[in-house]
Amino acid sequence: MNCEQSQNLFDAYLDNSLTGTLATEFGAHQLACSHCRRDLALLEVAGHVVASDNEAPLLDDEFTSRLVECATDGPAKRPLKFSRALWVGLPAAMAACLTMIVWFGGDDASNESDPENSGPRVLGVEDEVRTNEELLENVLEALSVDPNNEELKDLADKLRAKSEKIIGDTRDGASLLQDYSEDAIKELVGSVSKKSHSRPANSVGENGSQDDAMQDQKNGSSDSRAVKPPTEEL
Amino acid sequence: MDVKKSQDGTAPMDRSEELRLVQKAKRRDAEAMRALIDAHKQRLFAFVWRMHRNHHDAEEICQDAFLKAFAALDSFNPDYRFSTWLFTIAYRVTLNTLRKKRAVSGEMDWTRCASSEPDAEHEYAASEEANRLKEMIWQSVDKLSPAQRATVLLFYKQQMGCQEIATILETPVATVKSHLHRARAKLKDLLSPVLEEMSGSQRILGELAG
Ligand SMILES: [Zn+2]
Repeated sequence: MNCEQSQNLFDAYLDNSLTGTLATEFGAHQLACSHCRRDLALLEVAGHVVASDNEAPLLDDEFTSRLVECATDGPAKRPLKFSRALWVGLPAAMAACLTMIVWFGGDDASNESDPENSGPRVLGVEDEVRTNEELLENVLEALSVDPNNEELKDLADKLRAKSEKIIGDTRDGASLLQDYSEDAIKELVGSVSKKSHSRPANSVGENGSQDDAMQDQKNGSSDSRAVKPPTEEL
Repeated sequence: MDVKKSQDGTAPMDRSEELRLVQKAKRRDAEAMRALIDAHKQRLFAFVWRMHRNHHDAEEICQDAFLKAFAALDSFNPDYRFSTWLFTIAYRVTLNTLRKKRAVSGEMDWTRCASSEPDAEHEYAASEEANRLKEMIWQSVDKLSPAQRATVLLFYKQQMGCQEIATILETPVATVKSHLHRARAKLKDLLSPVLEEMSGSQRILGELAG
């Protein structure tokens, strides 16, 4: 076993899923290789440091009391700041979301490979969507109404991944928007238009096809999509 | 009702007791809500605080998450733990807050995240170098993407399995595993050179291994 193979097995080792001859070979490599041994120890220590973390300040009883008061008295008496509560209204969000899907799906996907055609489309998206998260919020709102809609799930995953990238990125906003236009739109147009040919955006029923995510779930009770928390902006 | 027992203030709640409290909370029973909040607030706060490293934001997000959870209890699936539901909501709010913050400030202020204050009571035995490595570990965790960071925190600190994390992140299990894998790779890349510079790296690792 070489170092690369050894490092590829770190996850399995750390998750206690390394067994058999592979485990033996892995162990032998660790004994012989101080570099891998140190990296592995480092990861174990990092996990331990996170696991034993207790630096978060403690929340006092006042926190609980305030919350109970808010929760039992209703929104009118909320003394807390809820600056984020911008309820858009489901029908509007739904309509906006579906408009986007129809708009994405309406054009021939082959346009994306044509720079002359893709140019104006990209601008249109920037005008229409403004930011990734606005669209994601719309999609999440729509998903809360129609949780089985495969297109919406897919769209949300992509937008979320894109947002991850945006958040994790330190480049300035302008270049991010460019990046968004170049990559994400191609992805979205490609996937949404392909699917919308076979069925309308909002018509996936209870027996909608299982995606990869669903196949990952071993049984019904552990289906990651089955918990449907309230929409972000109640 | 006093359920504060552990350091987190989160003694594990019996499943049937939890369901009983949820049923009562649905009817806006103040005591039931109080018990649910007390049982989960510190654990939730620890998670959100590590995601933001800002007390005010973290507290606000936790409040928000609890209120949303209570307001929508009718759609709570009793097959799941209340904590899973709560963390799912909190993670959503967290992501939105991070996005909005980024939209306002242009970019995340990672330097703010470096100001972790060592807890004297728990640090007295560790050497200066061990503390420095610990500090670097947290700085590296802060450099992970939000999803990777959340995965690491939920996996190690909250002791959740990939399945439960997938529920909370509303993403496939395979994606969670990928987050974990990438997070470890990134931590290794960031920390390995730091450790290399330190003399007596084995001793330092030993000190922090607990
Ligand atoms: Zn090696």
